[in-house]
Order: sequence, then structure tokens, then C-alpha cells
Amino acid sequence: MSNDSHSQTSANTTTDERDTMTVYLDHSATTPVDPSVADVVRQTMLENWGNPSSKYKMGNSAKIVLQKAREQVAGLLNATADNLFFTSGGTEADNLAILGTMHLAREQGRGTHFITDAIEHSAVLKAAEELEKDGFTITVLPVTHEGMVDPDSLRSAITDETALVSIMQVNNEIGTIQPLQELVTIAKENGALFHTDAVQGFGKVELDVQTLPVDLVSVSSHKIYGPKGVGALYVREGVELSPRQFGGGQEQGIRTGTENTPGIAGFGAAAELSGSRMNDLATRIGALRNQLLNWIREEVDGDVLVNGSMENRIYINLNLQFPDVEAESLLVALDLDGIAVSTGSACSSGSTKPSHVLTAIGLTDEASHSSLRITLGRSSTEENLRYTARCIGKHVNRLREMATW
Amino acid sequence: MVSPAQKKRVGVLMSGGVDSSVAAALLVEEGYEVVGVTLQLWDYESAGRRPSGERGCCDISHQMDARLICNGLGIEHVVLDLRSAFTSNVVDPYENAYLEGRTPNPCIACNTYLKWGEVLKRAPVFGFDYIATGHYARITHAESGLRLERGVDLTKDQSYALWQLPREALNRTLLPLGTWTKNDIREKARELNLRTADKPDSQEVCFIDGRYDDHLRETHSARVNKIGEGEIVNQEGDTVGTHNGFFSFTVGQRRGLNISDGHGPYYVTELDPDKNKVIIGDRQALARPGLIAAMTNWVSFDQPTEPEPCTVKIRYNDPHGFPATLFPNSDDDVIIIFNEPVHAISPGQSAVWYRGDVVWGGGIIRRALRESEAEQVQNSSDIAEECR
Repeated sequence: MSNDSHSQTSANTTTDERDTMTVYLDHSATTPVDPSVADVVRQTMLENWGNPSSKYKMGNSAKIVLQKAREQVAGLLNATADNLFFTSGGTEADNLAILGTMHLAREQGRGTHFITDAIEHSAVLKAAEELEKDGFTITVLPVTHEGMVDPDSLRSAITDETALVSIMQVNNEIGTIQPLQELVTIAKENGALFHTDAVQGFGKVELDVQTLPVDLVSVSSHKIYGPKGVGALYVREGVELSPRQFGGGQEQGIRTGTENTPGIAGFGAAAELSGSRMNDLATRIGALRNQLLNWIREEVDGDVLVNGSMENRIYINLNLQFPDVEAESLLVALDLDGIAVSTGSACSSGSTKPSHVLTAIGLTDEASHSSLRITLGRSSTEENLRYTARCIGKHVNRLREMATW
Repeated sequence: MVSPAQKKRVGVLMSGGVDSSVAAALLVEEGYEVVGVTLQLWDYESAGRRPSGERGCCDISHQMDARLICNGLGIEHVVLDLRSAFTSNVVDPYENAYLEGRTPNPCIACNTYLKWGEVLKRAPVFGFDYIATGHYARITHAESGLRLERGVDLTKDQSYALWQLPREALNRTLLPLGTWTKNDIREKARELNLRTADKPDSQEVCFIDGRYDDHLRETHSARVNKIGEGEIVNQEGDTVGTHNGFFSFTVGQRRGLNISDGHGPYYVTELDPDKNKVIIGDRQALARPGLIAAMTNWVSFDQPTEPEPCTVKIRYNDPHGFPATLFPNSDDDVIIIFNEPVHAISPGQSAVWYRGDVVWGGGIIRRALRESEAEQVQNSSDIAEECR
């Protein structure tokens, strides 16, 4: 079992009747910072506060911190540290990869066509919209009901004009894992570059840039128990892109601005920790995830449907549909029980539209609004997941009764 | 000290204003397990921004105020997304009412269908034994059961807005401000150092930025164009002017008529949506002897079988109401005959009848009665004669 020092299973008895637990099950939104990572951040803040660009001792020690982190993060992709560029997070990495590559391609006459798919994160889809406003041609590939990009649809969409294809590794809402090897091969055969948003898969599912000939990879720190506000873009040797911001020339000019040394150091520590635990966690959490689904089905009277492919899915994710149940109320009821889950993705909350991902896999608006995302993490245990299943069962059954009023 | 409140969980509906903030604080003091609930009812981004910073009752910054108040009180806070229920139960009926020549009470619809409808329906799921609000009204215990009464601060009394509560909701409702005056609530808020202590009261319809008729022209342009221009006619039926859509007018309205024949002022006495006419007259013509109210609800006492005296409020800002006789008519509607004629009875508004301070029941005004109709009602009933 887990020996994580930050285990969140403290049962706190607020009233005699209501024994609640704190159960965090929204690890695709963010993760708690690992205490050992927090130590590294704090230590870097206090001891390595020099500007990495400075040419004296304090600058040098900060440079060393950055280099170490660069090697740690690059290491998890089996990449060379020189090909890794730190950003403010996954969104910036996605924007930089897509806008930077497409603008340079147009300048150099390599094409103005960009291909992506319908279940990407908004950081990719909104960047595509910006490109379109700017005169580029955009193709958004559909996905199957299982939430998979069909390689044949890429084959028929790609042209000589296609400069870049961007398809995510793991979806943030339904957790589906795309067949990147095949998709990248199609792009390469047609002379296009390939970017993947690997924010959700990084540190959980292997991505080896030596065996997968992908050109650009976006990753983020706070999804792997690191601090927020840090991410990185891997850029294959020889691939060029035009920067989106201008200044002192840090990060080889690709992403200028004084580096967030403490955050980057924390990202490095988090990446190393994730790498060392990857296989153990996949086995343990994957088994728990499957058990959780069984327990929920035992507790719930009536249908519990899984949105998206169960086979090609990251082991932390469950995206469940409870027909006739309003997921928003379920979320509130679970919150009052101490359980944190989400409906749709956190970034699109506050909008009345159903999740674009669930719509893309063919769900009706009603089905989308009956869907709940549960994402497990290091703090998940049999005890807190059994409690979760009991609470879900109780509330779903009540909400179903309510719906028939 | 163990109070009966202990172990009871209350969901307090918090708009982010001073009243509901203090309501939550008072319930915490009484020993309840309190959860702040803010309803997300509308997409506020699409409602536009007003430079003055004055907004309706539940926009995003008010949601944050409610969250911060709860944080300060050490209680949980949740946001309940009821946007689609709000649109279908409040916004759509509001817009339809105006476009059909009636004057709606959207805040009453929100109380009935959202707060004591959708929220109360979910109370068992959230483990709420009660829901509470910051309304100035009271729920009192009598041998016959629970009663809804005016708040003690008659200048702030909001019992009018609660007439549509189902009677069975009363035993699951707490109204902690009913025994307080508004000044004392502000004082209490300052004492507790609540950030909302000096926040201005919300006045306007929360989902509309600006004039409602401009909003209708924007959101229902097809229907508005179909309505088009119409005639303004006097009591005799003579055309005296034109209007740009009857829905811009409400019974009793004086502004916007643009009639300057030197005999004014004139008031809107009636809207005729079928003929697209706005009917005007002098103040005398605005007075009517009674009304028919439909969709009745009997929140504290049953519908009487015989005519009964009561006091009737016909609009929100009507501090005392008017003495009247209530004539039961059918299961769904009643006839009210006022002791003295009353001005500006607006179809679509709520009529609420009181017995003393107790809200007896209420209904939606279908129409005002004419003198001859009122006489007929009074004469047709011998029992009615005896009562007077």
C-alpha cells in the first residue's frame, strides 16, 4: 500500500451523525504538492535566489538549479535537457508550440494549414481559433464515440499545406489515450510537424521522444504534484519556432523573461519523483480505479455508464454518466461530504455550455449534464474510495427519485 | 449549552448582500450547522457591465462576497448551478408576461420555483433539515399549525414576496431576520465586522441590465416587430396618440405617453395586447372596485367557504394594503372587492391577502373588475350581504 506522507484520509468527525472524510478525487484538475517538492521550492527560494543570468556566484548557483531541473524534466521524456524550455505552464507551452510553429511556417513558406481534433484542451482549440482569425486554415478532426482520433481521418485531412498537427496524448476529461505512434507517422510521411499536449499523461504514461518521433511536447508541473505556474515545451533538435514574447533572451530566446527558479526546481523534483513511482502507481491506482467503478455500480440503483473508451484510458480516470441525475447537484452533495470531484473540466466551469469533449463523443446535452469526472491520485486508498462509492450511491439514488417528482 | 438547534443542518441562501450574511451569522450563533448556498442563476458575463458598479442581487462579485462571508464565519459554502431552471421558471415567464400585456413579479417567481422549489427539493440530498433566507418575514407557531407573518420591521416587510410558498415548506424554513429591523441588521453586521455591512440593497431585476423593454427588443426582436406600433386610446376609445409597443407600459404608468392636450396628467389604465392598444385616462379612471386573482395559494389558512374580510396588498411597495372582502370563487381563483376603490391594479402582479399580520394567501391578478361587475358580485351573494 501507499506510504505517501501527504495521505489525505484523515477522518474528521464534525458531528455525531455525519462522519465525513476529506477525499480529493480531482487529480486531473490539479494535485497537492508533494512535501519533498515543497521543501525543494522553499530551499531554492531562500538559498538560490540569484538571477540565473548573472555572472557571479549567486547567478551560477541559480543556473545550476535550472540545469538540474531541466535534466530531471527532460529525463522523464527521455529527451536532452537542451531541448526543453520552461514556460509558465501547459497553456503557454501549447500556445507557444502552435502559434510559434505556424507563424514561422507561414514566414518560411512551409504551409498555413493546421490540424487538431475536437477534444483538445481549450489551450489548443482557442489557439487554433486565433490562427483562423489570422488567416490560417484549420481542420478540427472529429473523434469516435469512444473518444479516439481515427488515424484515417488524419490521413484524409492532411495536405501538402499542413505545417503542424496537434493531438493530445491523454484527454483531460475522459482520459482516453490517443494512438500517437500511428498519428505521428502519418504526419511525418506528409512532411508535417507534430505537437502533443501531454499535460495529462506526463509522469503517468510513458512518452519517450527517442521512440516516438514527435516534434513538440507540452507538459505541466502542477498535474504531477509540483507547484503551479510552471510548465515546459520540448522542441525536437532542428525544429524551429518563432517566440511569442520578447525580452532578455532567456530560454534560448524561445521563452524570454527571468526564470521562475523555485517553481522550476520544484517541477524538476516532482518529475523525478513521478518517474521513480510511475509503474508502482499505475498498478496500484489502476486496480483501485476498477474497484471504485464496481463499488459505485453496487451502490447505485440503475444505470452507471462510462463515457469514452474504458480500454484506451489513463488509469486514474473515470468519467461516469448517471442518467436522470443532475451532476451539478451531485457535485455539491459530494462536496458537503468532503469529496472533491468535477463536472466537465475545471477550466470551462462558469460557462453554461455542456463539455465540448462530451459533446464531441456524441453525448446529448442532458447526458453531459449527468456526467461526473473522478480522477484518482497518490492519496487514493481503498478506504476513501469505498466511502466515495457509498456517498455517490446514496446521492445518485436520491437525485433519481427527485427527478421523477 | 445545548440548544435544540444543535445537529440541525441549515442551508442559508446567500446572495452576497447584508441581509443573508447576517442571517447566516445569526444561525451560526444559534448553534445550527450552517452551509452557505449561493445560486448561480444567470450567465453574468453576457449581462454586460455597468460602470457604476450597481448590480442585481446575484452577480459574480456577490457570489465572492458570500464565499468570503462564509469563510469568515467558518462555515462551508457551495454554489448551486440552477441556470436552466431560472431561465425556464423566471426569465421566460417574465418576458412572456410583458409581451402578453401583464406586469410580472420575477422575484416572487424566483422565491417560489427556485428557492422554495429547486433548492428545497434538493434539501434531503444535501442533508439540509431547513433552508433559510434573509427575508424580513416571520414563521410563527399557532395551535393550528405554522403561519407566515409580516416581519416586525413594517418598512422592510417582505412577506408579500413569499405568498406562493407551499404550506408544507414552512416547517422546513427558517427566517431569522423576521424579528429584526433593517437598522439593527446593519448594526449587527458592523458589530460582526461583516464585509457586506454597508453594501447597498439590491433593487433591480438581477438578470437585466438597463430597461426591460430595451432588453425585450433585443432578445425577442421577432415578436416585438410583429407587435409593432399601436394606438393610445382614451376611455371613450378615441385615438389620442401612438405607442411603440404596449409592453413598454404598465397600468398606472404616467411617463412616456407624450400626450399634451392640456388636460393631463394621464395614466395607463389598461393594456389591450390583442388590439395592441394602450388605454389611458385621468387618475379617477385608474380607480377600480376589485379584482380577480388566479393561481391562488393558501399559505397559512385554508380558503374560506364564505366571504371574509381581509387586507390586500396589490404591489410590493405597498406598506399597508387595502381593506377588502374576499369572495371564494373556485378552487383556483378568488374575487376581491375593496372597501374603497384602489388605483392601478396591474394584471400579472401578485395580490396578497392578510388576516392581521398573517399572510393568508395570494394569487396572480388576472384583471381589475369594473363597477358593474363588482356590484353583481356583491348582490349575487346573500351571504356577502350579511357579512357587511
